[in-house]
Amino acid sequence: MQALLPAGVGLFAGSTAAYLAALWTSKPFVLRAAHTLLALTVLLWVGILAGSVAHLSEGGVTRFYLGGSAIALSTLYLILVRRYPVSGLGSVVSALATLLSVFALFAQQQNVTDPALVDWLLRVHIALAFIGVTAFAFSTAVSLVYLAQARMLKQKSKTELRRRLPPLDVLDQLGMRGIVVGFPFYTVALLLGSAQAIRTEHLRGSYVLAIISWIIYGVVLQARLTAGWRGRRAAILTVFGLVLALSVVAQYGFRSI
Amino acid sequence: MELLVLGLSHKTAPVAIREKFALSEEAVPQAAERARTVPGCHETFLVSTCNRIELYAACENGAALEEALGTVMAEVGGANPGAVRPHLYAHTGPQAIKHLFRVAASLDSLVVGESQILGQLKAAYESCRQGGQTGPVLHRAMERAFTVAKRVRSETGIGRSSVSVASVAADLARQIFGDLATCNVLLVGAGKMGELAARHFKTHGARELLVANRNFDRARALAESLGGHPRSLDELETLLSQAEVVVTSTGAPTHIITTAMVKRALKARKYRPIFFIDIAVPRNIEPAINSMDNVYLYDVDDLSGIANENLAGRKREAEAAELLVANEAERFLKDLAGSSVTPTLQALRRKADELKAGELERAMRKLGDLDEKQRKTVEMLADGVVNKLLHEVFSSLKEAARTDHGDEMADTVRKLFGLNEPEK
Repeated sequence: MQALLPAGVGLFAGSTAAYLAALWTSKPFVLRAAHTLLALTVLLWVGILAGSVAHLSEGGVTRFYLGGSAIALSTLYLILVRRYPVSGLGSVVSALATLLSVFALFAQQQNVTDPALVDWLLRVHIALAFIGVTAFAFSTAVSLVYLAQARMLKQKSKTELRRRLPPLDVLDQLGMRGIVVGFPFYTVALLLGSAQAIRTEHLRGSYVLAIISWIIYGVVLQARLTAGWRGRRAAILTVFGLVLALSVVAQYGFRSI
Repeated sequence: MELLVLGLSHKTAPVAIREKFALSEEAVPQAAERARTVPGCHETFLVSTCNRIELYAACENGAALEEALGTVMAEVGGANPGAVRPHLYAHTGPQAIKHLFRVAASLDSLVVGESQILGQLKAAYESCRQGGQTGPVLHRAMERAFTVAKRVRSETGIGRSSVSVASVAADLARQIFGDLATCNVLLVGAGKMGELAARHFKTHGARELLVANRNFDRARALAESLGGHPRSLDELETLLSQAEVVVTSTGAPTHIITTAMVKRALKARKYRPIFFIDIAVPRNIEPAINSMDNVYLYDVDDLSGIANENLAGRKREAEAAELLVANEAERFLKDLAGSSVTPTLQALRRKADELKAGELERAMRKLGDLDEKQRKTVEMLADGVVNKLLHEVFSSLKEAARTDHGDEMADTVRKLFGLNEPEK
């Protein structure tokens, strides 16, 4: 099954290309083809991950969860596109899924030296962190499209692309929902991660990055709930928060525990 | 039977002529019925809009009926035939089909790609169908015209973009807020353009319309006519915190909405976006507000620029639509030609079956008692001979129907096999 990983990455990249073509041509059949390709890619990844479950105790947890995030992100989009006018999000969502799948491809099989590290606390910590990161990745995809759409509206763009991207208000609401859903998971994951770090006396620089990203999402959420803060700056912060969160994931994924 | 279209439109007649032909819904089938009484004219259908009146007729010889139907058209408009005739155009046969398809697809409209004409055609056709003026030929042509129009709309971008200032503004609002039903619209001032834009928002589902004017009585009168609520201009800053879309159209010589006002309004509305449409000249809104987050400002030049670009886009899409219409017209004519030999094919099959049945009966009588197997063998022999003989004739006829020789070949077959005249 692991041999199929490059094909899985290629299919996510292919889906991105198909969504870009749909955005460019505005032909309904191209969009349908892109949806189908993304759905098939998700199925392939489900197969890949199902095949790797048996080997999780030997490491490969990061790869498993990165793949899981890419699947969840794509599935969430395929569900939402049936309910909201967000087909224009496809290219960004599948591009982010491609990025996550590339991380999964190159993530190392961790060499587990301490059995304590693979106990339930670590597993729950990683699982919750990935649920949070997946939700933030979705918000980031939405925020990137928000920034593009807001810029075109501000600049009074006459291009057809402006009409093909989703409305700002829909993007704003979906982006905020992603943060609302992801933040509690990410918070608990950080708490468990800190407990694990204290227990095993493994405190790393990546925790600092994780905490900064948590603060960013906390500020965005707090400002929105209390003062209604939204728009371009909130979208930029959402993207920045994910960059930090992914850099933490990269640090875990590309070196041994 | 061929199709004839006789009419006048914005391309051939000024409004002074066109307005004479503005028919009520009830008058349409009556006028079509009057045309149907012209000898040689079997089916009719009439469409009357502010930009065109057209009479479609299925008749024996379209060219020969142009004169008589032209006179009927003049009567319908209560005009002198001599005065109307220079503005009339006529198309027959393939040209009439293509014209019908172009009209239905909105390629012949004043604003290419507008969607109203298809609804008007459907309503007029339905009215004449119920009045009994239409028949199988027009039915087939109209059904295909509706299908072609749908294809043009779905396969080209001809109707995708707005081309009026008001509809461009509504489109932009949808791109910001998603659904106009979530938007309160504030109209500031009583300028004509602003009123048109506000009316457009209201008719397209805006939640609430507030009308603010320096003269409160004027605001009340305008609000009543638009189905909105009047407000005093003194409340402007408060109103800004309540409205998602603000349309300004006052005669004020300076900016009545400033950056400071918008900043305060934004805070009060918890930074929910505001879309400003400044249709006034000189402008009513300080242009600098467009640089604020969650504020979008478009003036009349911005909106006109998008409308013009969209119009140019429609013209580009119209080229693809013209090609589609031409191909569909050609296909329809081939199908029509194919159907012209159908009565001959049916008559030949009927005659062959009658002959076969008669000969079989005679043979069975002569052969006396046959068992089931023997009888079936004889029947199969007869079927085989007839089918093999007809197969070549049928193939040749269908082949000829795809060219211009269908009718000629059908006549020859009828003469050769002694078939009766086909039913028209």
